[in-house]
Amino acid sequence: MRHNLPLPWKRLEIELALPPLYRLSAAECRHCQEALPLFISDELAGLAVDELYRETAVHLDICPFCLAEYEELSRLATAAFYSSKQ
Amino acid sequence: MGPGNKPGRNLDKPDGHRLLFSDRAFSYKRRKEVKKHIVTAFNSFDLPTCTYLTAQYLCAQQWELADPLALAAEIYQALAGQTLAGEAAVEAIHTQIWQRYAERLHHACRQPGPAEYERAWQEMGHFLWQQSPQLACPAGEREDVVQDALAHLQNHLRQNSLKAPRTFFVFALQALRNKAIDQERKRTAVFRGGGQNPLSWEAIKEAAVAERATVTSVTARGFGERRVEKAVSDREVRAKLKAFFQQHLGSEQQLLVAELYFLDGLELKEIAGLMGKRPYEIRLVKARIVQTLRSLTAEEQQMLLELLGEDEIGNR
Repeated sequence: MRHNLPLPWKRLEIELALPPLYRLSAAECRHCQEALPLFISDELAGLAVDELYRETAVHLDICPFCLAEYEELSRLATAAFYSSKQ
Repeated sequence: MGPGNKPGRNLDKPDGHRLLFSDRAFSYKRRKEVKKHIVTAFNSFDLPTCTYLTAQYLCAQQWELADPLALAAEIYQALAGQTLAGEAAVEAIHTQIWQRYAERLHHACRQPGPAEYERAWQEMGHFLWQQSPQLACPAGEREDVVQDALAHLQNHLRQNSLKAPRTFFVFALQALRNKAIDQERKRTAVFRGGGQNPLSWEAIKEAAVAERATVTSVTARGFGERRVEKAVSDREVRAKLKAFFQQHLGSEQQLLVAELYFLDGLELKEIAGLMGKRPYEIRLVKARIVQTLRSLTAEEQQMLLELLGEDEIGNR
């Protein structure tokens, strides 16, 4: 029921409250990058990855290093599996 | 896979028609025509069409470790409950194919001995080779990059299996990309006249993050956990937030995504559908919006937080 859901901008409030970039540890980035193949595979399959892998989704919002990795890998995967040659 | 079902031979379609899958019969141009025709006419999701698309995709990728008929039947069963049509249906089938095939390939790559093992690594090598032109590395180095990536995959699979084998192809692409970056670093180090043992890409990333951690910065603002509980008087807040976004976001696209995601509550996948883009492209836009808003001055951030908390105050 719609009235039981939080307001959409609650999402933004959460994003703003996340720790700053310099507080991220190497282990968090490593964990995120290890999770990327699963995250991207499931995102391409249309699964709700923001809920399934919340930690990774949130990390991508605040870490430009991992976001760049995600971008490049998503681009490669999209071209590999959905290009017009198929 | 039965001998009669191999790509390059005739394949019986379940409804009795025969489909040709030789490379000549399925030239690139012909495949495009057929795909266009299927997408246009694909208003109902049925097994023959699913079989046709499956066999066509396997043939285009030169994947021979799965029986097209059996795979199509699995996919048809998996997707039968969904309302699919047109381009979305074709894409859903393609996703099912490569993910299910990745599981088979992962299994075959971990079973040394049988002929399937050789074939599996050959197919993985071919797949990586096909993707290598997309990497930023000179043509002369692509073979080395692919070989390094294959060696990395073999070592990894010898020690561990993937927790989710359906990710095998994307995992392999990640290895390929990392090896291309390593290669690039080696080349740059040689060009600069040094760097006999350049760090690997993983080591660089860790070093960069560690360096970031040492930077002293302003203490993070303790925003606490605010709760926005009721969507009763949200119209005014929404209008103010929209005006705030208009003032601070750089492009029309960012503004649209911010509005759809943060004000209308749509999911990234839905926004991608509306804008005719891939979900990952929308995620990138959204991440940049978040980064922009997080990098505002303390005063501007405070203003934004007050807007976000307005209805909460109003509801107390």
